[in-house]
Amino acid sequence: MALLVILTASACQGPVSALDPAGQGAADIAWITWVMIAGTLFFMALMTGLWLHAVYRRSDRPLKLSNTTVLVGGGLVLPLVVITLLLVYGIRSGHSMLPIGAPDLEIRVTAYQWFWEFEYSDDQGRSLTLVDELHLPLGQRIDFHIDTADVIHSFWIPALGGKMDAIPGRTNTLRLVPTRAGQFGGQCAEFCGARHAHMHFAVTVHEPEDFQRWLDTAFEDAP
Amino acid sequence: MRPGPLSIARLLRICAGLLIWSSGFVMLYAGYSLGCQQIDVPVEAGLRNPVTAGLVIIAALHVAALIALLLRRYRYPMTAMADENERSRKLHHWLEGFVLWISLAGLLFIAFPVLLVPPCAG
Amino acid sequence: MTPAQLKQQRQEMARLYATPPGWGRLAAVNHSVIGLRFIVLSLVFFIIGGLLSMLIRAQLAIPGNQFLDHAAYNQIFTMHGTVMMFLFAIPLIEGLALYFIPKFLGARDLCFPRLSAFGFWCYLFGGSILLVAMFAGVAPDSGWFMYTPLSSGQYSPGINSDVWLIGITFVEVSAIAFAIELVATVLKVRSGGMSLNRMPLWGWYILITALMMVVGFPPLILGSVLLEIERAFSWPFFDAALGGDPLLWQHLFWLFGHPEVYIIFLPAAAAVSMMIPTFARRPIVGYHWIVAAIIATGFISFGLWVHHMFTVGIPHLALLFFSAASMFVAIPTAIQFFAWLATLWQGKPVPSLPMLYLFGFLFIFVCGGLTGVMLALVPFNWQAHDTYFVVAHLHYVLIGGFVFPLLAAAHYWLPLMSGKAASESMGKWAFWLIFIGFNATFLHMHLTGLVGMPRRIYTYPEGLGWEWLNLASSIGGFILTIGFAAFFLDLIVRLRAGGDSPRNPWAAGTLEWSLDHPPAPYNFTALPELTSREPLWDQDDVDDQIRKGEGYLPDTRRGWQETLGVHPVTGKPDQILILPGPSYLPLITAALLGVFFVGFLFGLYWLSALGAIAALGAALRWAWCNGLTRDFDDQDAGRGLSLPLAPQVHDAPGWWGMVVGLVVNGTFYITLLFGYLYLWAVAPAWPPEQFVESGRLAAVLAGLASLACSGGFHLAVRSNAAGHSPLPGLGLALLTGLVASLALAWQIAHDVASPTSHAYAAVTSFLLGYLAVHAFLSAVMAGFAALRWRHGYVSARRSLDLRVPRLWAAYTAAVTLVGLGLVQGLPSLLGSGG
Repeated sequence: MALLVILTASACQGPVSALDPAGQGAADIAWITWVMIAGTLFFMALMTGLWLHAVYRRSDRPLKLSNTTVLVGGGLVLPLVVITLLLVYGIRSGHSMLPIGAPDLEIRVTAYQWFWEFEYSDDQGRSLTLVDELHLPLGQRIDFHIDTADVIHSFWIPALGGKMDAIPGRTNTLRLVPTRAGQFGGQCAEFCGARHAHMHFAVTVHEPEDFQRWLDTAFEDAP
Repeated sequence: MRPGPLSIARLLRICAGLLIWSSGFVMLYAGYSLGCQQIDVPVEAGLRNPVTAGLVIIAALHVAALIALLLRRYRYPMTAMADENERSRKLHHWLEGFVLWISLAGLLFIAFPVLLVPPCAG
Repeated sequence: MTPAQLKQQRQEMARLYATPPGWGRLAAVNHSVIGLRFIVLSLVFFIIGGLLSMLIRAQLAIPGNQFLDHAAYNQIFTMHGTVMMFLFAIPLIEGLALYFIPKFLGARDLCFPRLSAFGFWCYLFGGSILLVAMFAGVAPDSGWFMYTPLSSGQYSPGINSDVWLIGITFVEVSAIAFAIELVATVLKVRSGGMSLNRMPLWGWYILITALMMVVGFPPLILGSVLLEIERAFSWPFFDAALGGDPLLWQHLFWLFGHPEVYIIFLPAAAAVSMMIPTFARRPIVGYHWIVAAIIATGFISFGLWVHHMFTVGIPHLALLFFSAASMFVAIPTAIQFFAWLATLWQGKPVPSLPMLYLFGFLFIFVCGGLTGVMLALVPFNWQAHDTYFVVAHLHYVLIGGFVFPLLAAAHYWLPLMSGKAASESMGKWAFWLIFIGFNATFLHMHLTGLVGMPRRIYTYPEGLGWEWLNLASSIGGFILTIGFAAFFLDLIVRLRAGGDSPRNPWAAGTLEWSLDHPPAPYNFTALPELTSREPLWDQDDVDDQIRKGEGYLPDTRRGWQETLGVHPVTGKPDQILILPGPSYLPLITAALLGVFFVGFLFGLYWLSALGAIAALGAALRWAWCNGLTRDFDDQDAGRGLSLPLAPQVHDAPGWWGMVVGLVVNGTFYITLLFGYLYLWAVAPAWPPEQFVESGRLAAVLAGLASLACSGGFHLAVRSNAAGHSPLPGLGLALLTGLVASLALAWQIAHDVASPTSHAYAAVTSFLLGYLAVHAFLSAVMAGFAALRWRHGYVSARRSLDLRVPRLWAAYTAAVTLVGLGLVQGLPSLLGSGG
């Protein structure tokens, strides 16, 4: 059992793991994921136990509970309570991840078959385009404006938060807030043709000062 | 002898609650999509805005319709058709009521998020 | 009746209902024969789909594997999904329902036996298109949900996507045929006394499933037709640059796709609801709760589709409506589970092999349901969407909720279907192999997704922590396959060498167990009068009624294949149905329809047109065979009852069939209007350069003509009822139908911009084309009805030939007025667009 726990815990680590969060959204989601997994295990044990008891019980006598109690309790009250709690939590948590309020940094993302373009710009009119390589500042609210040049793709950095599709004719906005510096992976999550499997990109989260230094140098070097 | 349409009416009556639920669902979704497209609602406005008000009215109208049907059901129990046995009538009467209650719960359940978040954010 | 008379009676009946030998088998229409063909063919596809999944697992077993390249892999995973959903799961439930429904409801066949034969041929031909393409190496490769623009002409120029769109649409024709037939049958064709409240739960489940297919399949068919037209003729329905929207495809697909999950699950739950009372030795607890739960599932499952689209950028509150509905649908499912548990608690359960498989169902499906609730939570979905978590979830739902109940059902009903006795040991081995193999494949696959592995990648690098998870899944997958092989081996051995089964080996209470094992082609020698839901437990005389000819329609003296039609609610017999015998027409019609589809596939549009016209001709020839050429008095139906023949009553099955068919058609139309308004409201690149120009005159003409056409049929029905000739009314209908279709065609040609220029012009042209085809078909029906009258098929008492097309014409008038109102009214109302 302990071995299983250790195995599972080590299995959750990784540069692209949603369970090894390095962003606000991802941390929130990882927490509710563990809660829901626990709930799932509990209900599976409950239902399996009830079934085994019902089929293999020793006594021939019918159960003391009335049928209406079983149906109302198990069929209506139990699920209704659980899903109400879950929905209310989900609403609050989802709302907190929306791009509401001004961001600290905006990046234009354009997806191509089969690579990513990231465009940084500042108010002095300087701009910079990177391919399959993303640099982000720690602790800042970053809005990604996501667009595609061809088919549908999906922009996803599991360690930082949820994903957002790139749809022809629209620009979708995703907000991420990194909370841990380091190297992470991102990838296309929507099947987009032949080389979908190779549509990765590298993500580096810097301390804010380091990021500013990197950005300034990069602007200088940009053609 | 025209039993066809009559039995369709009976089947529709059993489903009445869910038909209203479906109407509520479609109107909430459509009204919301069109509302947020036509009217610019800033997030700061919170819940005091025309779109939320409209959605609440849509939900309230459907809830009122369900309550009206429930009242009617309890006041005028379903009558038996020619040659129908009493157990069949009872079953359908019970179904009508149960489906109405489920629909009422379902409508409230899908509508209550309207009161928790500003409508057009995100 | 003496035993000798009885024996002779049964021989005559067997001759009357027999399927001809040799090539005559191609003319088979008997529901048992067709049902078994569906079941066997779907199992063949299951094996094919299973082998494809083995290739997938072999490729993913280790990182950087060179076993398959991306071209092969993309075809394989697309075909795996497509085969399992469209060619295995749906046809298998169709086959089971076709085979069992008459046996459960106390009938000799379904109400349109030739329609089910037609459905089988469509399934076979459509499935063959996909298989042939796969062996030719041009199988579809855009994923089983075919997202455009990846599947569009620009990014998938090959024939691959056309194969999917055309093959699957062909197969869906059979699903629609099935749905119409099953709704009409469950409502109309039962044994005497089987009121709705005495119907076995399977009947309720199939009724709701068929109704869900009636509403659920048209969006997919519409989407496929639009996408195929876009690919073939460049009408830009889904092209964002020209006013279309790729999200419209996703809406149409999932509007079908989510209910589809319940269309697959409900019949499996039906099997569970039939087995549990038998093994609990008591009637089901909460029959009415389950009925309510089925109805609620039928509705609510249509409010979930956007949970497949949580990451496309739809605003948060809209997601919440769908999130809430997705969670709420757990309630009817929970009701069913607790009703089953309560039944077991109240009874004296007998452990048995089917019960073991039902335990597998409970364990796996509950897990799939709970991960489904997890996925309904919006923020969690943003992470888990399109990862292996979803892959694991959907296999838990479909294998747990569909395959396991049907494995149980196979063991449960095999003694009835084959006459061979059940065996235990091999089945237990197979169960444990399948159960362990399944969990070893998919349980930790949830984790694979959460640590970041997206779906549909043909290879992955080392060092991301996915290696042992994938390897374990691949090993589990092979155990699972061995389990299925053991299951099929057991089945084959039993069919070949099993001992004879005693009658009703499980001591079940429902009607089908009163039949011979295996059942005779006519099922019941005589149809019993039922007073209970479990007649074999409660009614001592049921066996006598069936076996000794004391029930309804006990003989063949009129030389017809007959079964009872009943009042849909009360179950009181109200007519005698005359069933058609074997015929090649279903095969011929399906083959000609195949010419239409294959012509389209290869861009031979002249061949397509010829195929369509020939198929219409064959369908009319087929329709010609029905009906009576003279009036009959009420006929003796046994048990002292005299009943009219179906062609002489108001709500014959044919009438119900047309009503259900029009609901299918109406759903198609409403979906089309949804698409029209959706593009208008939310598509990028609007408004178009020009809206419909002038054209008021043609529009008014078309509207009035379609009204007059409907009026013409009405007139024909009234004068026929009064004993006069219906020809003036039919003449009016024929003429005005043609006028309406010409006026609409003129509009398409003159008033709408070229359909390739903008999605608005494309969708308007499509809408007007839909109306024109309907008006033209009204005219064809008027001419056909006039011919039928000339040949004596119509009289004051036999008016179906007029009343059925009258429904069509009234429908056509209604959709024409709505459609023209939109096309003409919207530009001035919303001129500027969204």
